[in-house]
Order: sequence, then C-alpha cells, then structure tokens
Amino acid sequence: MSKSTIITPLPNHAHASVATYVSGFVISVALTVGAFALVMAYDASDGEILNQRVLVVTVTLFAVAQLAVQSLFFLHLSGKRSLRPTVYSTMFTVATLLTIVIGSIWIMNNLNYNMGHDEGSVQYIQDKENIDSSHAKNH
Amino acid sequence: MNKDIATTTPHELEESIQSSKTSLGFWLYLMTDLMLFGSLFAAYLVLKPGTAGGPGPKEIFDLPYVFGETMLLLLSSFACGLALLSAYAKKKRATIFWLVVTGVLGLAFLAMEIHEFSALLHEGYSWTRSGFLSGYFGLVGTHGLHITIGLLWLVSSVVYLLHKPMTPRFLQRLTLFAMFWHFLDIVWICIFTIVYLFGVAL
Repeated sequence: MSKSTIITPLPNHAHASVATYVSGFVISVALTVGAFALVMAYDASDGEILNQRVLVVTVTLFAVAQLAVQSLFFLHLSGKRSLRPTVYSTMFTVATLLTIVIGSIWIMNNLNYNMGHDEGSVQYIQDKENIDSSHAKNH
Repeated sequence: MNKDIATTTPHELEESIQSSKTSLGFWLYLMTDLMLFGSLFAAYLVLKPGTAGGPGPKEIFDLPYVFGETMLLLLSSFACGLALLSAYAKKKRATIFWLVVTGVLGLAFLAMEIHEFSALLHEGYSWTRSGFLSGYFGLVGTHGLHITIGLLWLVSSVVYLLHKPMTPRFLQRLTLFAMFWHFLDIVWICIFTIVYLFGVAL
C-alpha cells in the first residue's frame, strides 16, 4: 500500500463505517454550534466581548475545518491511488475558485473606489437627488 | 462489479463503486457545480454593499432560524450516509428507512427556506429591490433548487427500491446521490458562514 500513497495531506484511510459518519456528524455539529454561538454572543454584546477581526478569523477556521471533516468523513476523499484523479480535480477546482472569488472582490472594490462609488459619494448623490434613504439611515 | 452482488462484501462493493469511472465522472460534474456556486458567491460578495437604500443583511437575517435550517440539512446528510451504509450491507428495509429520513429532513429544510423567502417577498424585499438582494436570492435560491432536484432524485430511488431488488447498478446510483447530497451540505456550510454569520457579524 505504501506505493499507492500520494503526496497529499489526506489519510490513506479505512472504509466507511457508522463510526466515520457519527464522528463526522458530531464534529460538524460542534463546529456549527461554536461558530453560531460566537456570532450570537458578538451580536448581543454589540461587539464588546470580541474583537471583530478575531471573530472573523475564528469563524472562517471553523468553516474550513468543517469542510475538511465532511470531505473526509462523508465524501471519503482519501490518498488512495484509485482516488487520485478525484483529489487532483478537486485541488484544481478549489484553486480556480479562490482566484475567481478573491479576484472579483479585489477588482470590483478597486473599481468602486476609482469610480467614486464609495459610501460618501453615494450619500452625496442621495442627498442631492432627494432619494429616500430612510432604510439606510436606520442601521 | 463483475462479481455477483450476493457474494461481495460491503467493503468490496464500496471499493469498486468509489473508484469506478462513473463515480469520477459524477465528481467532475460536482466540481463544475462548485464553480457555478463559486461564481454566485463572488457575485453576492461584490453586490453586497449595494443595498440601494433598502435593507442590509443585519435587518433581514434571523440567525437562530437559519441555524435550525443548518441543523436539519446536516442531519439529513448524516442520514443519507447511513442509508448508503445499509445499502452496501444489502439491508433493503434499513436503506429505505434512512432514505425516507433523509428526504423528510431535506423537505423540512426546503420548507423553512421557502418560508424565509416568502416572508422577505411579503415585506417587499424581492430580488428586484437591490443588488444585495439579487445576489442573495441568486445564491441561496440556486442552492434551494439543487435541494429540490435532489429530493426528486431521492423519491425516485425510494420508489425504485419498493418495487425492484438492489442491484450493483442501483448501488452505484445511490452512491452518486449520496455524493450529491453531501456536496450540497458542504455548499450550505459556506452559505451559512459567508452569507448569514458574516452578514450579521460584519
């Protein structure tokens, strides 16, 4: 079996069993409840108990951990030789995806800024044109 | 898959189905679907600041409600795994039972989502209201559409099982359904975190 392992961090793991599904489920519940409780506590205290940056990093890590747990325990991705095309196509897709999402946000924000469509100028236009912005002012 | 189903062990079945070309082909489809969701995520994040004087994420999201949806979908994904295990063990009745559990939980999730959407529409916050709402309905609605299609697939599998024996071909198809269902739960984790949790926290 050592020949069949490839260079991925994935385990060359055992078969699906009730135990793998139960552990995947329990860890997923714990991570979901954790992320939810953190955001609820943050929101209830108006951001006083937690630094916003710490909150975002923690919740992101919880989500990434859960994606990994479900891929391993529910979808049974592993380092097995027969799953090589599966793992490689997944890595390629994730890389493309990150490029699309991060690239879009970066470029569009930059464009917004350069075109003057930031909050200040939107407010200016609304005041000038007498557009009802009561909803926006409420929050 | 050449061996008779009666003499294969669950592990052998799992092994041969998991590494079949059919499974790889379906996985590649799931990856293209992931690209679709990725593009919708990018569109949502770009459109999010564009509330056009309408409501923002904080005003319209009810986190405890969405947390309930998340738990239902997670339980459904878990039940689907148990259905697949029962199928590999050639336990037909247990397979049907867990598939029905999967379906009921999935339907409950969908009902909650439809209720959430109709409440927003009632308040006049449809996808035409602002860029943010267009992105939101586009992303979450596409996921809901996938769940609907998955439920139809599930119903057809249960009806099939009620009338016909479990063949290797059926096990292969059920494996693809399980992949699809787990995949949708994985996409939902991203929606729950990026749209709902960050919508309220940021």
